[in-house]
Amino acid sequence: MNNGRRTAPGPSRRDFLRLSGAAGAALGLSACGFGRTGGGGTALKVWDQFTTSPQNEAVRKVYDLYRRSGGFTIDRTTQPGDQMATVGKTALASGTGPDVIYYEVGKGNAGVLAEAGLLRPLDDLAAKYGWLKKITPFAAREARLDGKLYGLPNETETTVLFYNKTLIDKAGLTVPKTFDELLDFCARAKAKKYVPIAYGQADVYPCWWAFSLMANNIVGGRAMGDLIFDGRGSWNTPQMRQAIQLFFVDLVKAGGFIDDLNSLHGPDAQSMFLAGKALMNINGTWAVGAVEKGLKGQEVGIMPMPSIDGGDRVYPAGTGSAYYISARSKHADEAGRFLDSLYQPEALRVWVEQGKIFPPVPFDPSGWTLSSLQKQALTAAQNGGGDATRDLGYSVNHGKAAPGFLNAMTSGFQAVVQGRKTPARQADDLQKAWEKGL
Amino acid sequence: MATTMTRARPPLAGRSAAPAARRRPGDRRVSGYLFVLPALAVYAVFILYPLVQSVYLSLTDWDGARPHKRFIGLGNFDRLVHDSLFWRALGHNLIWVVLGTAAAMAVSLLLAMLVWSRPRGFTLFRTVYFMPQILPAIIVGIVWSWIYSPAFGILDRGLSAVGLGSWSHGWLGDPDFALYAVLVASVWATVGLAFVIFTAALHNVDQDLLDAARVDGAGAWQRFRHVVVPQLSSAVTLVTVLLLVHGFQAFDHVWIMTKGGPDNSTQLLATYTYQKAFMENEVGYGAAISLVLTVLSLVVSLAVVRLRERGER
Repeated sequence: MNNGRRTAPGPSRRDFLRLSGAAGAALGLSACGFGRTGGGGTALKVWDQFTTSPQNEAVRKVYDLYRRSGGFTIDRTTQPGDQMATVGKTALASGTGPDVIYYEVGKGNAGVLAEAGLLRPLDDLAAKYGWLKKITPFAAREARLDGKLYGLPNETETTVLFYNKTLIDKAGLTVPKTFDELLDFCARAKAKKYVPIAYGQADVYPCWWAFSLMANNIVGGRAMGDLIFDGRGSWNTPQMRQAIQLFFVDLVKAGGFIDDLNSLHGPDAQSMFLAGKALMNINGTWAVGAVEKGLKGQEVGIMPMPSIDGGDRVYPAGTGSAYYISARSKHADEAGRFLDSLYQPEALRVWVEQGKIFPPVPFDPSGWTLSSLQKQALTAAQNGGGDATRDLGYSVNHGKAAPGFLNAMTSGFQAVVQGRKTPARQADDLQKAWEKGL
Repeated sequence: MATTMTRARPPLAGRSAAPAARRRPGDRRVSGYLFVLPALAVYAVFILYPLVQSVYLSLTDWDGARPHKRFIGLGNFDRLVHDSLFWRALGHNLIWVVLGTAAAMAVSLLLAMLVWSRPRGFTLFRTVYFMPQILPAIIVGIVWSWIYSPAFGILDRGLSAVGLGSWSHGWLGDPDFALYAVLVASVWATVGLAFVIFTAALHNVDQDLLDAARVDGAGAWQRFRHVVVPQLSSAVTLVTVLLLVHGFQAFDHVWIMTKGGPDNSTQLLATYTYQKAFMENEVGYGAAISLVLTVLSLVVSLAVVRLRERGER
């Protein structure tokens, strides 16, 4: 510079080009996969949602059984369910996603992927491996979309009332068998400074469980199945209004829950139960492991909602998620073999004993190490404790339940508890949201 | 950038320097563009392209999975106008932005004033005040959920301990309180940055002017109002714009603490966008809501900057 002022020496054009070249090379190498870790051989990309213990460890063992039987290496990715719902969709659409994905069943979940052609129909593989002869009819119903089988359900989830018998005895109360007894139980438990039922609906899903328990008892399991999966029936019938009234109004008034149940999260409600502050907890058989661990040495049982007007006591059941094969997977046959391996006897034992998960297939658990609570949960999952056609029902958030219907349940039941909405209006709103989602 | 550089160049001394001078501006321009290029590319890829895509998606009824996107024109925007939950969320956003900005501004300025004289423990205070800013939103959300918990929350227990048990409340479960309860957590988390900006700006306040005002008999409030605040005008503008934009984009704390509930009482435009696009598979409609949010943020931010500039003139 000849103007007498010095300017800061910057990089020359050559320096810049060198820098750009280096950056380009680095980008190129990373695009080619340089630096990636992973085992050798062909890998089957599997995405699942088993992020918590003890399921995570059990799943690892089950996958290992498949690999040791001559299968591909498993390239496993775990994500919580809500994250899977957003990331999984994009990954499958991009064509670079997993070969196998463990995804939420139902019209608003896997149904969206199936409609978009992102999932491979499994009818041919089901025929080859005889899956439809193994899995329970309700599980097959969950994974069917427009007459085609798309997924392989892996766990029977039953919504239940956990009760702490030790604490109930200590409080001088008895486990209620009818809804009237439950109302009385709540009033007396509250007077003794116990929280009768640990239940909060700050999260979106606990009210689905509660409504499932009530509606199945009043309407019956078979009718609920017809409504949820085939759209036969409606949500604004007198029975549905009664189901809403009894739980979200009468039980609240009877002091069944903490005063501010809309601000209590599901996990916090469970913590309350595990801490011995509550006598019961609305939850599902998926929580058996956590309950056993948290209430060690105490007698804990599970039961469906007490009988309403002398009716049946029905366990709502569902298969939260199922394994699906990507339509773009280059290893569909191997993916089929992988899915079949999940139902092999050795794998079933790991699922049940260690994972506390009950696959929807018949199996003989004699000789297996199962706790009392596990046995109760297993019985509930297999036949509802009696006749499966009568005592096992369906979860209201499955089948044709679209996301709008789920939202209508969550916000609507919160409003009913607040006294801002009547059960009749909520039932009407549910019906409208249901029809809109069909 | 090139124009600025040309203007800054002094006139050349002699004719012999002309060829070199003619070459240099071109070289420098090319170098300048090359240096700008990476930032421009990043901006184009991560800002412009998604924005254009959002506009396109807002004109479709795409569900986020189908390979083909059906063009529906302005159908999503027509639906928006008649969507009562959209208007409710917008109302919540306005409350959030106005109250959140005012509260964060007031608290951060107050804290900055308190440590202006660099009292003993200044570094500790500065760290403590700024700390919430660096906490991940998920931590803030979880911690405040615990504070508000009706089962074991410290707030209700504290109230009971001081004889105000009747004030105990399910703060996040009551539709009348939930929005404000989450807002308090959000203000707590955002005060740190504004505090640091105000602290830095206060160091540049002219002490002579303050001394002169004191000599002239100005009280503490008058000195603050007429001497300190005018000298903080740039910082106030910056903080206001940052808080406004942050307010319109509010999502994380609400999502973690209430997910828009109870009964949609904490639903904001950003949470409603997420709900529609990712939970209800209405990506096209979600994109339309997000565009409204973007336009609102831009308009309000520009308006604040313009008003401030006009005030300074």
